[in-house]
Amino acid sequence: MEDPALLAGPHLSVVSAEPDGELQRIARTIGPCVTVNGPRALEAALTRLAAAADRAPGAADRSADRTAARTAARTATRTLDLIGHTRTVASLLSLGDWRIDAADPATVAVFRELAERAVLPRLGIHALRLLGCRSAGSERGRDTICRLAALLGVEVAGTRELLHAGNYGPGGFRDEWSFLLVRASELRRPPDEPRGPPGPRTLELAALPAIALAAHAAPCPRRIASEHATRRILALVRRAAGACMPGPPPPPAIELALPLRGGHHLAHVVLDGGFLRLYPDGMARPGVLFPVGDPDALHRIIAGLPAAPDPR
Amino acid sequence: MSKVTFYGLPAWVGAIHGPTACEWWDHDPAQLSWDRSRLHPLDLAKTVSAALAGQISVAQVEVDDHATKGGRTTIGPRWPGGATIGAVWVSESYLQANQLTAPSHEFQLIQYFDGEQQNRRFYGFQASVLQTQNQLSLVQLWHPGTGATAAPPAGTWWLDLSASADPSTPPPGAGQPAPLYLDAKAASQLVTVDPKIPTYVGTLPFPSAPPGA
Repeated sequence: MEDPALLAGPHLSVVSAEPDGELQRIARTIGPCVTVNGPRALEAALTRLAAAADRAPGAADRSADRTAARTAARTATRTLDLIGHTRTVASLLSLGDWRIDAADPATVAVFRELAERAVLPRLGIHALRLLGCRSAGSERGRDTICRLAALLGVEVAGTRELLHAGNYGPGGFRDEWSFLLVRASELRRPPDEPRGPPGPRTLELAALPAIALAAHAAPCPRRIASEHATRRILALVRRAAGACMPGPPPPPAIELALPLRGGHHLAHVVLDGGFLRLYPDGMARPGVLFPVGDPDALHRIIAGLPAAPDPR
Repeated sequence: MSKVTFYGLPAWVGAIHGPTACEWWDHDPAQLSWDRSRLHPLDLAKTVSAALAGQISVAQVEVDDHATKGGRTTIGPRWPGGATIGAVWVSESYLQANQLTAPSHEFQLIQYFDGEQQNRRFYGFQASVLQTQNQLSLVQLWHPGTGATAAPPAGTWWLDLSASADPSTPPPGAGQPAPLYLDAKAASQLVTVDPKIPTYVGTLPFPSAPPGA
């Protein structure tokens, strides 16, 4: 099969080479595809195709392989579909006599080698799909899907259902049947993770973390508050009405450095002084908005605070 | 302005007539003595995304897209291979034509097709507005389907309801839990699970991107 034809569509189909009528029917239905009987043949086929992709017009300079691979990965539009029967009670996909089992060190070595040589990014592949009946139907099958995703750095999918020739068309696995697939990112997602506390957060001054002012570049003018000014500012805040706001955080107008024991905490004045955004979980976590009871009074206090020198 | 309200109902598929054509019961058929006269015909191809793509008219829409396409329906979406027990989110006209009972607001969504709200959708929630400050409201939300139970709220957030709530339905008043229809994009940042339909199924992740997004 000519390489350009194999890389012409959104799916690169690799079918298990074995004397099986159903697999042969699938290969005929797909048209351009690769047939392999084991790991060596798969490696050889993908390496040859990657080399062809490198030589194709517009391909990145081989001398900058890693950068090129990353660039290619960003523009990846193709899936690598491994198509075969599943064998054993663990429903592991087979290509020839090779069972793709991530618990098998030899199998891991095959995929690690592909990852180290950036073969999938060079081929523009953003997902690997293990297309065999119930390839995600067992704990071991799902573990293989997740381990391969971690190893290759791409999405990996399998299925909990039966697959057959009717799921394929010219060019590969038909998109209208993609609902049958389950992805590693879904399998790994923790269920029912709460996104926030059920009620409003209460501002506890003693629990605010100290933040090194020099380590944080203010995104707006910074004012240094005295302990007295800090007490006056926090007296304006409705301390039992803290909550996050979804979406992009509103830009701060002023950054306040509030003195705490042994350091400072940062507070951002947002939404015309209607809110102070504090960071009780640290600056790396989303800030919590607390409403300000008297924005005009807040502005008057801020007007009397000294400006901090620009650390930049 | 075209808008359609969808209602989430439990579905047991009782007959399959084609890749997307089926008949379904809205109750466990074992409790209906497998009464085939109570089956409802449905074409799972008559979806929101089909209307947005211009393949059918808005008036022809019967059902929301499948969960794998950003919708909330979980039966099908094609056979063989599609699910036969799950949720079906049917349009208001379909609901009325089939004399089905509308579930509460937590099992409703509103889809706009054109006009100012073009291709926006809003999901029904149980919510309580605790207080307001300027244009923001401090809103306590329940995961969809849990607002009428003893479950704790999913969380509390400051929200700009003028930007993120359905303009055609009144926002909740202060203090009392009430219906709130929230924009899909905002809602997907707040809650994590979809309603359990039928009630005995496990929870599904909340849709991250609606059909046509």
